[in-house]
Amino acid sequence: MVGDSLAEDSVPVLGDADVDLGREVLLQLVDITKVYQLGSVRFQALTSVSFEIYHGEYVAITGPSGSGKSTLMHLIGCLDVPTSGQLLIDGKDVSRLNELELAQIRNEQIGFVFQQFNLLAPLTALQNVELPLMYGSHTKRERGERSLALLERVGLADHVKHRPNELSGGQQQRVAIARALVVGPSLILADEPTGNLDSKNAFDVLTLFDELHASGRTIVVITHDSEVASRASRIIRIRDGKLEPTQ
Amino acid sequence: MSWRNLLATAIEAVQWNRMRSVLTMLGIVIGIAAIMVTVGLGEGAQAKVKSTISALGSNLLTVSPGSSSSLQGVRGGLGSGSTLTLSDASALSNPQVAPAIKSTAPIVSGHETLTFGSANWTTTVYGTTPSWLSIRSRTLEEGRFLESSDLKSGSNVIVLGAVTAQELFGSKNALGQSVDVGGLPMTVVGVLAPVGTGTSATSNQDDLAIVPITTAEYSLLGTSSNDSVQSILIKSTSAATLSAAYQEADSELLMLHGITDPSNADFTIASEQSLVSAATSVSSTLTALLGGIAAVSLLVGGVGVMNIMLVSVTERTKEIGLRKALGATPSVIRRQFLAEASILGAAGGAVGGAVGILGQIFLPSVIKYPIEIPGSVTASSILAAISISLIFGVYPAARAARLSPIDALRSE
Ligand SMILES: Nc1ncnc2c1ncn2[C@@H]1O[C@H](COP(=O)(O)OP(=O)(O)OP(=O)(O)O)[C@@H](O)[C@H]1O
Ligand SMILES: [Mg+2]
Repeated sequence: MVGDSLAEDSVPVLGDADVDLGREVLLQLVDITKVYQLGSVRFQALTSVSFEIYHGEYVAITGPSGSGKSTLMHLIGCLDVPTSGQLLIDGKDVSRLNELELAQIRNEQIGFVFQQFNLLAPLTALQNVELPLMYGSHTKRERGERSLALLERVGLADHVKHRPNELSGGQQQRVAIARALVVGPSLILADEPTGNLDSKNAFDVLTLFDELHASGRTIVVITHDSEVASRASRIIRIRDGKLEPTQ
Repeated sequence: MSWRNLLATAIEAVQWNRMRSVLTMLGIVIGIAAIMVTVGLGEGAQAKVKSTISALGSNLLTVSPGSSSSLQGVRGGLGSGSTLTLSDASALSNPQVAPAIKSTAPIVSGHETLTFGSANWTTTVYGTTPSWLSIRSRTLEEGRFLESSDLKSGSNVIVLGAVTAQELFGSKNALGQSVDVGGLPMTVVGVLAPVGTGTSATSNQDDLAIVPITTAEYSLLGTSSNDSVQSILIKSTSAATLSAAYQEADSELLMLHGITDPSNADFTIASEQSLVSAATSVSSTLTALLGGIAAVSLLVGGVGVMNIMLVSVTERTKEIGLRKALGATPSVIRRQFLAEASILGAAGGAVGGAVGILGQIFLPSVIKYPIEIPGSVTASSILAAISISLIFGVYPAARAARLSPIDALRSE
């Protein structure tokens, strides 16, 4: 997968045929390559990855462990920048932005959902949901109202004052989803959102994603669980840092 | 992120790790309390020196023979042709000549053994004038002080200090008794009220005997030049006119002694203030030294803050990564950690200040030494605690700000 494979895949492989031409492109990856440099060792985690995601789509990115899914998620989520290639969000190239500009895009355009929930232990459910709004310019009142509305939306209106250690795993992940939604992002980006949940809670979370999709949200779920992937309207498969052609 | 939210976030973090925060603060608390108590000890010592010296008399100048600038040291002296005379003293007390001078008292002195019956006691005998009493701000326990008639006639009367009277007479009444002073019988006409609280500096002010200066010069201390005096005490009309009194005494004495160049003056005028500043400069050097040592302990406290903050940054790598993923910029993260450091510093400073003030209240009764902590020292100590914590928080905060969000999120 390193070095000699470079020549084979010089032609970008488009992800899907079932593209609704009436919809606008939200996310466009053009020939994305990511190389990790560990001292003198170079490791190519992604090779010439190109695809598009449209507004309102529900996409699953799957692949075996170590295939580069999380690497891809970090690039899409503007947590990292590609070694080469372009990443466009709503037509704007974000692959060469500086740390400050990336932080602003993360804050306004992207809602993250993590496998480990990543709620802050000292904060209540409500405060955790408010957190992204703290890094933007919102009034205290606006923050409270929006966060409450979203906790209600995920069915946790009674748990507003609970701290993470007073919530079940499923409830914690729902708080995390509310937090991802609170800034009204263009994209919900979830990395193994059900990885730490039992099947009942996993089902609830996936149902929530279905509802969000139905209400027009764009969702990208990264998973190696085919059952989770099957909920999505389109699946992008990745292996050894390259896209696999769709069946 | 607004400052208010930043501060609230920092306070939450400090409260969440309560035990660790308290331990971090401890170094600062000890440093601040140590500085306050040492400075308080120094201030207390200075105040004590000042009050001891001002007990000697207020608005006071002392003229002594010899020039302070002369390299040969003090010229003249008692019996060897002192440059100061009784007429100098009386000239200075003339309000036409020196309006800022209220009164003067010429002084000669020597050690004599006083005998009453089988009791004898060696003490300092001063020959002076009636104005000595008010210049020294003394009062009488019983009897009377010297009067101008005593002076004119050179009568054999003596006034004793409280300790001297006690040593010679015990519980007996001293008034009217005759004591033998170096072979000369003298009548006790008065006993001075004690000044001292019993400390060593003031007790010898209660062990003395006063006789008319004329008696001292002609009969007692046997001076060769019967007009010369050892020193002249000058009291100004008020504290405000002290420097005017100094000027007047200086120019009048130069004129009386026929000296045109002030650098050749054959006398020295010292103020109480110069005594105070000489004494306090010693104790303030000591205070600075002790304060410096205490400041080092505050510095060690600051290093402690840095240490714990670095641990905290490592421990909270995941939190930092999450905050960055949610849109926190590096500068917001940096400010959050700086805010935490300064809250630790402020809290440590406040607790340290409280400990210092408690020390000021309770320590003096244990160590038998006064502690005076000025309010400005308390305030600046707390400021110092905040700044030290801020300074030592800079590096950990920069480390936190530099963390990459993916590395931070990945860490377990
Ligand atoms: N910071 C890094 N430095 C060096 N190599 C890295 C780094 N991050 C990821 N890799 C490597 O890149 C490859 C892809 O990693 P990635 O985390 O994207 O895999 P993944 O598909 O998410 O796997 P999993 O399903 O186990 O989460 C792996 O071989 C990994 O070792
Ligand atoms: Mg992964």
